[in-house]
Amino acid sequence: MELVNSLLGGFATALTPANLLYAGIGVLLGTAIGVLPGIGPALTISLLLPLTFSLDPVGAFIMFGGIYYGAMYGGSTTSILVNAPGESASVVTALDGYQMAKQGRAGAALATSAIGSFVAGTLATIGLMVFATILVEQAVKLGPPELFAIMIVALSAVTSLSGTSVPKSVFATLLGLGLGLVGLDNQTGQLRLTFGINELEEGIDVVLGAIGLFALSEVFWYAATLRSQDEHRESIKGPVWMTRNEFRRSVPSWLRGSGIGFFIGALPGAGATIASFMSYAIEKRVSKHKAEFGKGAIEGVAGPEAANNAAAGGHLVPLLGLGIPGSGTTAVMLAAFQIYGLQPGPLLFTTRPDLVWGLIASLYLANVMLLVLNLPLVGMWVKLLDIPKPLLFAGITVISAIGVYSLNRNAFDLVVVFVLGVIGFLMKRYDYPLGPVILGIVLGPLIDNNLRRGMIMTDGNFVAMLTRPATAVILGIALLFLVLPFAIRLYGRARGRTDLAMLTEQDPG
Amino acid sequence: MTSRNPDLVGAVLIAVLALVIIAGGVTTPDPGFGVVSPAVLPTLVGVLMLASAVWLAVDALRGAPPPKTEPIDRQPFGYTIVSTAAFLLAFVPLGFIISATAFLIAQARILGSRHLVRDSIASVLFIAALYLLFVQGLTIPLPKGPLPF
Repeated sequence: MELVNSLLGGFATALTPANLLYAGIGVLLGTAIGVLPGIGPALTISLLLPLTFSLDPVGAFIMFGGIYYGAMYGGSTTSILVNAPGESASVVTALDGYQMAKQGRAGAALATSAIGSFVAGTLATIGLMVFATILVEQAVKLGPPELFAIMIVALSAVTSLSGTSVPKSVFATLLGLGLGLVGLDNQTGQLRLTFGINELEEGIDVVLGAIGLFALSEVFWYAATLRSQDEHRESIKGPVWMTRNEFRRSVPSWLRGSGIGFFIGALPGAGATIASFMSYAIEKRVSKHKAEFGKGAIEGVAGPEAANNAAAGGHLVPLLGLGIPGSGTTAVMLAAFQIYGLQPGPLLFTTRPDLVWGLIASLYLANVMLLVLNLPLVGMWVKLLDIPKPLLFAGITVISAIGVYSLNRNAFDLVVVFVLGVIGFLMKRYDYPLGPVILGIVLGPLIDNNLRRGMIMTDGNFVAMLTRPATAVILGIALLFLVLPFAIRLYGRARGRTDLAMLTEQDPG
Repeated sequence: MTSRNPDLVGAVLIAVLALVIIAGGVTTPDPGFGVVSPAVLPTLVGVLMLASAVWLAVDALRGAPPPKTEPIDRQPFGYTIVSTAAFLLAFVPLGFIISATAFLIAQARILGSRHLVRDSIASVLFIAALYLLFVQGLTIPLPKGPLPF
C-alpha cells in the first residue's frame, strides 16, 4: 500500500521532537487565539504567520496544521460559554450550546463538541488523505484551461454562497481580484493598477488583506459598537463529560456531521459555516427530540461542531490536491506556501513528499493533542476570556502591526492595511461579505496566469479554450453555482422559510 | 447619511472605484508579445464591478431593504481610527517599543478602560514579551526608532 507507506513516512517526519514541538505550539496558539471572540481561523493564521518565518518549511507547515485545527476547536468553547461566538462557523453551535450552558450543562456541551471535533477531525484527515491522493492522480492531466475553469468555479461558489445580496458578493469578489492584480505582471513585466505608486509594484499580499479586513476592521467594529457590547458568560458547572444517554445521542450526530462537513468543505467556496448550518438542519429533521432544538439539544451541538471541524479537513483537499484554495482560510495558507516559494498541488506530492505527508500526519497528531487540551484543560482556555476587552482589542492591533511589518519590513504596508481595515469595517457594517475578497486576492494572479497560458495553448481562441471537454464541464458547474442563489431564494420564498437565508450568511473562514 | 439609503451610496462609491480600475486597466501598456494583453483582466474586473454597482443601485431603487445598522458610537470609533492611524504611521519612525506601548495604553482608555495603572503595567509587560519573542526568540527584527534596541 503506497498510501500507508507515504503516511508512515509522514509520521516519521511529524514525530521528530522538533516537529512535535511545533505541532504542540501550533495547537496551543491556535486554540488560544481561536477562543478569543471575533477571531476566526483565517485571521489566526495571518496573525501567527510571522512566528513561522524563522522555521524550515516542514516545521512551519506542521505548526500551521496545528494552528488551523486549534482555531477550529477554540471557536466552539466561546460559542458555548459566551453568547458571542468566536467565529462564524460556530454561530450555529451557540444556538443550543449556549442554552445548555445556561441550564448548567456546559460540561456536556463542551465534551460533545470536543469529542465530536476529534472524531470529525480524524475522519476528515483520513478523507483528505484518500481524496487528495486521488485528486493528485487526476490533476496532473489538467492544463491551464481546466485550472482556470476550476478557479472560476471557486469564485462563483464563494460569490453565490456568501452574503445576503448578490451584487454585494459580486463586488466583494471583484474587489479581491482587483487587489490581487495590483503590481508587476509576471508574464510581461508591466505594472498594473499601481497608479504610479512605487510601493505597490510588489503587489498587495493576501496577509495584508486578511489582517486589514478581519483584524483591524474587528477592532474598529468593537469601538463603534462599544456601548451596545453586552456579554454574558456562563461558567462550567460540574465535570466536562457526558452521561451515557448524552453520549448515545451524540455518536450518530458526530458521524453525520463529519460526512456533511467533509464533503461540503471539499467543494470550493462552500465554507464551514454552510456545513454547520446544514448539519444543524439535518439533525433537527432526523431527531426524535425536535422540541428540544433551540432549547439545549445535544445533537444541535454535536452535529454542527463535527461538521465545522470536518469542513476544515475538507478545505485542504482542493488546496493540497489542486493548489487552489476554496476558502478564505486556505487562501491564507496558500499565501503561506508561496512565502516559502512552494506551490501546493500535484507536483508538491512528488517534489516534497516529506512536507505534504508530514503535514497530513501532524494533523492526526494535532487532533489527539487538541482532545487532551480541550477535555481536561478547557478551564484554562476559559480564563482567556477574562482578559479585559479594551486591552485585548488594543493588543490585536499591535500584533497586526507586527504581522504586517515582519512580512516585508515595509512601512507602506502599514498604510495599506489601515486602508483595508477601514474598507473592511464599512463592508461589514453594510453587509458586504469579506470572505470573497480574501479568496479573490489569492486567485486574481492565478486566474490571470492560467487564462493567458491557456490562450497561448489555443492560439488566442477563447472559445476553443472553453470548449475543451473537461473545461466545459467545470464551467457548467460554475454556472450552476451562479444560478443557485436565485434558486435558493425562490425555494425560500415558496416555503416561507428563513433558515435558508441563514445558510447564506457570510463566512470569513 | 441617515436619510440616504446606504446601498445607493455604496453603489456610487463602487462605481467610482470601478472607473478608477478601468482607467488603470486600459492604460496598462501592452508590450505586444503574448496572446492576451496584461490590460485585459484588470479592465474586465473594472467593467464587471461597474455592472455590480448598477445592479446594487437597481436593487436598492426597486425597494430592496437597506442593511440594518446600529448608530456608531462616534467618540470611541473616531478616536480609534485616529489612534490606529497614528500608531501605524509612528511604528517605523518611533520604533516598536515606544509606539506600541503608548498605543496600547491610549487605546485601552479609548475603549473604555479606566484602570490606567493596571493597563500601563500590562502594556509594558506585553510589549516586552512580544519584543523578546520576536526579536530575541525568532530573530525577526522590529523597528528600533530612537532606542538602541
